[in-house]
Amino acid sequence: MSFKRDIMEDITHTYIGIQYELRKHLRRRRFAIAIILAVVLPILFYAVPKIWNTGFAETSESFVSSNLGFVNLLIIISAALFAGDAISGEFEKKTALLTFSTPQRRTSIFAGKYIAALTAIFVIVSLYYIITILEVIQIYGINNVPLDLVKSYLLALLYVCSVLSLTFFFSSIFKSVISSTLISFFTLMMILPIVSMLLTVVKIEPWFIVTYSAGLITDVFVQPIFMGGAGGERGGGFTEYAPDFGTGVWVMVAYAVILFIMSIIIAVRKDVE
Amino acid sequence: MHEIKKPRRNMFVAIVVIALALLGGLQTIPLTNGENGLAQPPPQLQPDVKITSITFSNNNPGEDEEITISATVWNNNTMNITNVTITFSYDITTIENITNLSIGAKENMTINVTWKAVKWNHNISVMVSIDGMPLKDSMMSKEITVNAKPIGDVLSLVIALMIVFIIITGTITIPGIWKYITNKKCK
Amino acid sequence: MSDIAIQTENLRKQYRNGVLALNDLNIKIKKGDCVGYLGPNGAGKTTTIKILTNLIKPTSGQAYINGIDVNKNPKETLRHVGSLVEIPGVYEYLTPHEMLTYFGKVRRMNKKDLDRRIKEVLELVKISDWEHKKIGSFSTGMQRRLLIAQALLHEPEILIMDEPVLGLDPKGMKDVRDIIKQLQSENKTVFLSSHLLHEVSETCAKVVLLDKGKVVSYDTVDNLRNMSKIQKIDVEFLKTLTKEQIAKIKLIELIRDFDIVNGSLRIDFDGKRDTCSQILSKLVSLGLEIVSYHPASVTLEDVYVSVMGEESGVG
Repeated sequence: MSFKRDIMEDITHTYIGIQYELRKHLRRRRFAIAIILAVVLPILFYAVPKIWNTGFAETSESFVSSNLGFVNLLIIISAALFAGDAISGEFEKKTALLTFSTPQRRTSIFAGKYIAALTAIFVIVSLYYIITILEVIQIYGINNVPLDLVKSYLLALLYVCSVLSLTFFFSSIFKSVISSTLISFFTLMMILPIVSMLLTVVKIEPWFIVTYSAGLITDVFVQPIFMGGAGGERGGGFTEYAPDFGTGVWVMVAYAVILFIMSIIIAVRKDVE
Repeated sequence: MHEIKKPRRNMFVAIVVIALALLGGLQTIPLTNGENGLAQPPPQLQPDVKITSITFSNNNPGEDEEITISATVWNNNTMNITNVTITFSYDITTIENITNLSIGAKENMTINVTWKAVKWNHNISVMVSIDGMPLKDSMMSKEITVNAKPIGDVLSLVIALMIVFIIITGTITIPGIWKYITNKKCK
Repeated sequence: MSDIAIQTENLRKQYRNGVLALNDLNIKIKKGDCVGYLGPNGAGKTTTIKILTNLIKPTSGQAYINGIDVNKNPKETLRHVGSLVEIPGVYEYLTPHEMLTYFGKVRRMNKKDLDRRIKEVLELVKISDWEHKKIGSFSTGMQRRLLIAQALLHEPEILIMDEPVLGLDPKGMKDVRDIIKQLQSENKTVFLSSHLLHEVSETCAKVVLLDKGKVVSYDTVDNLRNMSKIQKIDVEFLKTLTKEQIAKIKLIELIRDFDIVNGSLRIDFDGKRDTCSQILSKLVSLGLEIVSYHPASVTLEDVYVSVMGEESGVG
């Protein structure tokens, strides 16, 4: 087969994989759950102060910053839902016996799954931001919509890529869907944040931990007191850090790219026993 | 023998003691010439020099913006003071020392320094020193809030996302390209 | 152009737990042959099929389909192969039409051919009424039929199947048998592994007998039967044998072994004509009323048991 035809076929196979994977996400309740979260969470930040009549933050930046504080959680949950079983599911449920014995490369199959999961999570994150923007317009007026929302949104998308790659990586290592999903979830929700905190206690900036870099999503609006590793001492011996933009972005890129490539290599070489 | 009477003896001792004290003190104090050519008394004996006001050219500058900090010094003494140093600081960091100043008696002097604003809240303080001795009572402070520069830029983020997408989509074609290269090598 | 459809050369597979599943396996299957792949549990049948379908990599050796190395060029080799390996999972959220459309698109079938072919294969496996119902609601047998349909969708030159009739009712088994016979008539190559020796003997002209990762025997079923050292005589009696009569038959030294099947006696002996005659005389002398006395047909099962019992693999 000619080189060009071979490449075109690989792209076609990936596209077919994306279509069917998106169909799977749409038909399973997981997409509905994620959509509900993406809608309910920001609405709560609007509805609760409104109902309790406590008023909103002084500036739209502060409002958006606190509202988007939960987008990290949404991204992690979505990654676990859509990618936790992307690779491990094929082996556990033995659907790999069907798909892998077809004339398509495994890289096409897995790339298709990744892109489909990415698309689904992008939709969910975008929905979250759209609702937030609508709330800002409603509370503060259209002229007070912070332009830094664009940066925050792009950072959130970059974080999606890195979280998804990490989840894919665990999915490629573990044969069990439950193991891969839970370990991904707990790594992102607990293990990495705990490691970050322990490092700050011993005065080491955890710049290489992706969940630390995720702080940039809200830092673009209201910057914390301490930035870029030049933390000062506070009472109790704790040194506070906040991620540097450049470092944080490159850490997320590194996680996204390196872990994705590793997961593909592991999955392609795995035997369907 | 001529006996010195007691009251005259006591006065004599007092004069000698005072003279000796003056001699010892004069040796430790460098004599300077003021405007009128008069020697300067020790600073601790002249507490009446104060910073009376601090102003900023911009009360809410942005990070890295250069602003002028102006401090007004008031010499409440009846004599001129020389060898005056005005120290400008933000928090515990010195901005600049303005040295070798002379301020006339009962006169003001305004000193300006340029400061590249460091982000967030700071305490700008100005203090007077005379002959290297800081006058703590002369110090004055004023708070300033510096707005931090916006973090990051959209272009970097777009580039970062593009890198990720290119690599991910590249994995689709890399096996085919690799196969083509290895087949060519075999031939 | 080579006439070999499937070939392995010194194929070896050792799993991580140390089990040597294939031990320098060498087989050649010609185009148009229908070959049964038989062996006890753990012989290496599924391992061979998985290597041929790119599901696992061999430790050493090569596997070829139409002369192309499966390991190096899986995309090209699997283009002409329809396969059904073990008990694959199905996509429960899809309908048969959607699932078959996926596999058809992957195999670059155009829409018109694909739609026609989907209807044909679903008709062939008798689940056309369920074309647009979710697979999750299917029984095991129906899922199996769908998987067979998937293997046949693109009209492959080579069909590789591992236990194709597993989970099927007798009607389903017959349908699969008919499908395989039809494929044979179209000169397609069929390579199937099964524990149901009767099914294999009904459909396959040749069998490979595998044990401990090595080929024990590879020949036509007829040759295997003829070469088999098993010789049996079927004897039918007028009346059911009593215990005393059975005890007396046991004492006949010329009889190696015997089985009573539906009132008839199946005798194992040394295969000599003299012995056959003498056994008849002995039975008659016992006062047994014999209705028929003739050599029994050797089944594939008999061959299998006989061969597997003797050999441990001849590479």
